Amino acid sequence: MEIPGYAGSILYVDLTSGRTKKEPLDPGLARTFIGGHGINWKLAYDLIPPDADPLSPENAIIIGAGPFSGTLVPGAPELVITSKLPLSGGFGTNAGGGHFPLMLKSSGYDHLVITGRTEKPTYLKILDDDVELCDARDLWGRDIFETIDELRSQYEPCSVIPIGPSGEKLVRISVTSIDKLGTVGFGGLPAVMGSKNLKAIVAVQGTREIRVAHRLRLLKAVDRMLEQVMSYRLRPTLLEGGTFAMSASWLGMGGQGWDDIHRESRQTLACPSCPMGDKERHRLTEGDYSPMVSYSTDFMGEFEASGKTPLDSHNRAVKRLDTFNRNGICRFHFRDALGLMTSLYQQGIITTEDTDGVELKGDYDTTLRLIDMTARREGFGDLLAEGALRAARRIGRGAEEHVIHIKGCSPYIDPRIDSFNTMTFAQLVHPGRPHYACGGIGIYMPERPIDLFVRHAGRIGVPDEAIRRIFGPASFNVGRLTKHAEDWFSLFNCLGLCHRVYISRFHSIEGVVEFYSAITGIETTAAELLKAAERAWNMSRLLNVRTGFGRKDDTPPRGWFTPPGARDREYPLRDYFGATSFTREDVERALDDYYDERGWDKESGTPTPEKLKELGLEGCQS
Amino acid sequence: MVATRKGPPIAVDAASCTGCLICELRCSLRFEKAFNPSKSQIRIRRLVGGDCEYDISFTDRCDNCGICVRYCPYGALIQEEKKETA
Repeated sequence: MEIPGYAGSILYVDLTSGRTKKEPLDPGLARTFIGGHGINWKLAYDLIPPDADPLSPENAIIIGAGPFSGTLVPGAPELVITSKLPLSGGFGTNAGGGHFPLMLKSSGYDHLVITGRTEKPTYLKILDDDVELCDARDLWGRDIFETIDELRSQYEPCSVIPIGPSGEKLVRISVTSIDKLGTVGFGGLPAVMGSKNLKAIVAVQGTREIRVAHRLRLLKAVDRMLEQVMSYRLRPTLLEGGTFAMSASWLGMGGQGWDDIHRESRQTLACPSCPMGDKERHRLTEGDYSPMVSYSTDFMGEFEASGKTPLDSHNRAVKRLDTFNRNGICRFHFRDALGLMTSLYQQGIITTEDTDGVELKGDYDTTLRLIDMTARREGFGDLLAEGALRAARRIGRGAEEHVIHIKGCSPYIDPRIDSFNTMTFAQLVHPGRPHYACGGIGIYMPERPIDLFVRHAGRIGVPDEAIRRIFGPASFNVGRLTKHAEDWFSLFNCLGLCHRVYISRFHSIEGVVEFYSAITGIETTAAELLKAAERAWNMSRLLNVRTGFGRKDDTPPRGWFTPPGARDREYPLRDYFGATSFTREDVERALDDYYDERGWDKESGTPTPEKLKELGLEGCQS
Repeated sequence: MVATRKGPPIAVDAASCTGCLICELRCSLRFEKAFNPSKSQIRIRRLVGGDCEYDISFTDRCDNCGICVRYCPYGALIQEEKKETA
């Protein structure tokens, strides 16, 4: 029997044969893994061989919505995509906002599994039972925004997951954008699509209705949360100034003299069901690069001062983001790779002979040119397309010693700047690749009082005995706390909830339990839901352990202990409060504590048989 | 069939529409007791190349109940002198 809140089916598409198959969603699977990345991980475990080349037909792209997707639960637009990723070689789930989960469920599917490879460029169109592989030769070569516009002109209302030139050229540091809204694909997912000759996936608005078990009960819970959101004191700041203004507000940073220009030229966009829209449409009408319309998932950290006027500098920041987004290049990985090469160039380790004549001066125009070249693997861009670690290995000459990486990927956040907290630590232990959202737990601002975290831990369902274990009068155990932060956001990934702090801060475990019971009709508890989320996380670990990952890959980069410009001594990291130094031994102890809290073997980082039994996963082997 | 009106006309400020579709979701829940934007009587459609990102319109079945106005978090829907709640 179908569970309310679910669309009720899984769609399988084999690109090689062109065959499609619709199977009912097993209610037992939905109760065990909830949905989203939980079910994705189980499907990946069953379907993808551990030794599959990420860019081979054997790899699968598994897309999941959750039981909250397509409903009125505030901030439930999150799509999760699970695959073996070419940058790390590990299994990863990417999450991004957009209309896709809503559209997919409106055609009757909770999950979509794509395997194989087509002979010629193809896009996949889904509209109810009409599932079609369409000729995409005319789209091949077009950028991400152009591809979305073209497919919208045929299928609107719809949602599109496209790839740009970077995916077509199998760039390992590629990402893409769902509906020009949410960024997705960290770790090279677009390259997986490109290897399958899959230019885009289009979910057209279907006719299937999503029914919920208790409509009025759901509305009551929705109204309660919306009331909180609408009265949030920083909501006007977000809606008027976007993520740029929010980061400036939180961190006490001023703008760059172009706050007003930015505010005037932007329009807030939102994912479905989100009252805290943080996506942006930029409309430049004067100054450098005008006229131009562009889109971005956020504008945090986009500083630029190379223009002749503040207006020109602002426009240049928009243009650079536009160039990343249209091409589908991960700006974090690109900046890391280019930063490394620029440093090597300045030290004389590489020369213009290595860069095909490009002088690496760190200037704006060269950066713009190199983003394009990377997306197309042209000249020196072919090297950057591999990411910092592979590029350094290809260069040789000791270049690898200068790379700061985790599992072959660039960390998002540097603990030398941001302190050693759950966000920075979570990057180390995330299975398959670094990621930080799971470690958020409210530590987005430095040096907040400990009481705030104790309260937050209770709000996200950390059991009392764990709170006593984790928190001291003026400190907290980073490793142990990270486990619970991961489970909280694992639950988000199962349900279809957005991680972004602007909206996630309004959710509590009690609220989530109420939404879940109202939608599905299943009366549950905080402990049961968090156990399912933990089960999903352990599945992700099992897949990666099976692929060869373990504690050896969770070790901190040597560079974390070296301040920039001083490579001859260990540098004491600071703890979250900035009071205590954090040594390599402290990081190792944090790892021990993390594995202990998780119930994983400390030596190998593998879930123990006891933990697997507790989670009902004893049949799964690592 | 044109619906019997339950309230005054709903004015739109398309420039404030963010595409969150909360109005469509809420409307479909009212009419169909289930979620699907295609079953909504308010229609949000993307525009390509215009000043606004979205266009807002209503079907003939819309009865101006105003539930979309009440749920719009961005002030894109306005209904004056609402006397009755659906």
